[in-house]
Amino acid sequence: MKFAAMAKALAVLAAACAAGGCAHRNWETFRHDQERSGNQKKGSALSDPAKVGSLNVAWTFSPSGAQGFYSSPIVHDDKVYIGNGNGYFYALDEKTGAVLWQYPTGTALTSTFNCNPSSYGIASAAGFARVKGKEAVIFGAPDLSSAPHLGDGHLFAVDAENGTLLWESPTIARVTGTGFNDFHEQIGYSAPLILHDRVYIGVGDHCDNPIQNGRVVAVHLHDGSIDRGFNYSSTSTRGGGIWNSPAGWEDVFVTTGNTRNGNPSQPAVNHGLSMLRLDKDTGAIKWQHQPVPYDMDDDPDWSAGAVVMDTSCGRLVTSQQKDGWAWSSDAHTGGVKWAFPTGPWATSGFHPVDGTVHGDTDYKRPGASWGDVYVAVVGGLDTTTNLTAGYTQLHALNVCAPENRRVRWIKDVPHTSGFAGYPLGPPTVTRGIVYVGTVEGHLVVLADPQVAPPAGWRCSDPSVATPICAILGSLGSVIRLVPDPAVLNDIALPGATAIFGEPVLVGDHVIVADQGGKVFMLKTN
Amino acid sequence: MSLTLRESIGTILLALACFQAGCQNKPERESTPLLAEAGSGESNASPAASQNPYKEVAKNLLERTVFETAGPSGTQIEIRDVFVAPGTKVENVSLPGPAVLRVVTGEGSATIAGKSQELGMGTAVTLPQDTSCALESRGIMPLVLRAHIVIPQ
Repeated sequence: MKFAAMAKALAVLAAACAAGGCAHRNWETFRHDQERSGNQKKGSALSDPAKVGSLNVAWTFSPSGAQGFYSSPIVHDDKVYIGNGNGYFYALDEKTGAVLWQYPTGTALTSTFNCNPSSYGIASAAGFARVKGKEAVIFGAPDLSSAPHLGDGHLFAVDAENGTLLWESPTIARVTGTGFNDFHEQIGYSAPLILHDRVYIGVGDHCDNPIQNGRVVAVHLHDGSIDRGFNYSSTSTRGGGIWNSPAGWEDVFVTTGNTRNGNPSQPAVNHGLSMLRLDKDTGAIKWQHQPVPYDMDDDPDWSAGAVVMDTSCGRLVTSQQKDGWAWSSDAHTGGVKWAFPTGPWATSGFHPVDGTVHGDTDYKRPGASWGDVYVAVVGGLDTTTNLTAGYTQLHALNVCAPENRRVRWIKDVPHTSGFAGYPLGPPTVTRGIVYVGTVEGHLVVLADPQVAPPAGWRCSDPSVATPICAILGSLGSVIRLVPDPAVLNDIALPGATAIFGEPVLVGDHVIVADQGGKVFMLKTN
Repeated sequence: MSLTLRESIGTILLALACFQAGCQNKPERESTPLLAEAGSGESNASPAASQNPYKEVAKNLLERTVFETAGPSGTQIEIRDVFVAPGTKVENVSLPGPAVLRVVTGEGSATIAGKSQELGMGTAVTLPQDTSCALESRGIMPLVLRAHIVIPQ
């Protein structure tokens, strides 16, 4: 009888889980998973167009001495974990927002640099893992206690239950001074990739001036010691900083920053401005895609990281550079699948004579993947004539479609005034419902037309008015009507400033943080 | 109602299998087919509006001014985008003054005074004053030229 009762209980538990009752309660790394999809695949009220209209703020949290939240929260087993620009890392009760613990309890994790938001305190979102049999959260942060006491970057593994330190890595990002030849590396926005028994982290720099040599460092998951068998540096001199979070699928995928700033000539080895696949064991480059050559490098970093997509046309790696162009490559071979917008560069890269511009513009945030759809802030079909128009828009791109069907939909997201760097945060998605934070402190929820009727139709080229678009163009061109998705909810978060991080989707809760130092939890009624 | 040992073991195995499926967060590929195209005569235009949309000046030809300022000797300098719909040819394109037109999107050709010139990214053509041209857009992208025009007094 006991055995039978246990069997029945297990069956009930399994049924609940199979229906999505447990995995969707977690969001265990930046962008949800190793592939950096930004996608909660499990259904919930957040994926029900009829229910997301009832989302309301349930609690807010602001730490003592708050600076901005430039990292994003993660969630595991009803606990929210997030680091603040004040240099402290917090565990919160997901139901109430109450602080469960903070790390450290003493001197904050800060550096002597504060020239860029990525330099303040903890800008690295955490990753969840098991370390020596304990549940742990792992994040990157500066540490002033480490000689020469300027705040070089380390990885920290902290017991998820009580906030005690499990290990701190040796120095990963070196800071030796402010001189031209000093190191001023940083982990910054890079969130750790936990893949098998290693933790991978990207290294960029504090404030350029001049740029540092980009690196990916691997440490052993069990004790944080550096894996000397894994080596990746972007150049032979300086450049190619890693400003984002490595993605993982079989190997490690990264995108890199500019090279020309601070170099008198092109380094002999130049993996800057590239999307790369690195061998997970050695760091060796398996393939590299570098569409903007050194001579055209006016600082169009790949600020957005790589997103590995499992699609109906194969495994793709997709991202966009700061210049607005999006790229998708075969994850196995690195062969370019497409560029958006398309042009001769799709097959041969850009050339100085082609008239295109590749500078420090603001297409910086990672996109979200949902099936064959990539949702991101990118330059549109008009990016060569209207460079900044895409800042306040979300584009959904059909990654497996022919070129003339690349644009799935376009949305001018409300409450995105100004062109100040980051009008939109990174979008997240659950079953076609897209969540995004805005510079005006709003959380906006959109519905892909597959799950709710659109608000109307507009032109795939945002510079062409709808009535003209409807009669323009020949069969098969890129100029055509595309849906303008419906806004299902537009929530002014109370007292919120700009939202830099991602809306985390767990169960029927959304957790998002702002640059003013607040964490918000919203739930459906 | 009680279960036999065999039934219980079966139930446990089934439960574990379901647990794996439901809790492991195993990524299953989500189906996202292409959306249906707009119907002919679609009238539900979205309220989205470009800050500086093109205006239709002839069939398959759109233009917009992106910059203008006073030039020397009483002239006016205008920068204008000239957009030719994909896969179309437009005759008798004229501008209000002599101009240099540089391709910023697409490919095709320009015919000026009977002479044809291939157009691709970064190439440029000169259009003399009081001269018209024919512009052909090839491929799936529009042909967009950025025209730097000197408008006489």
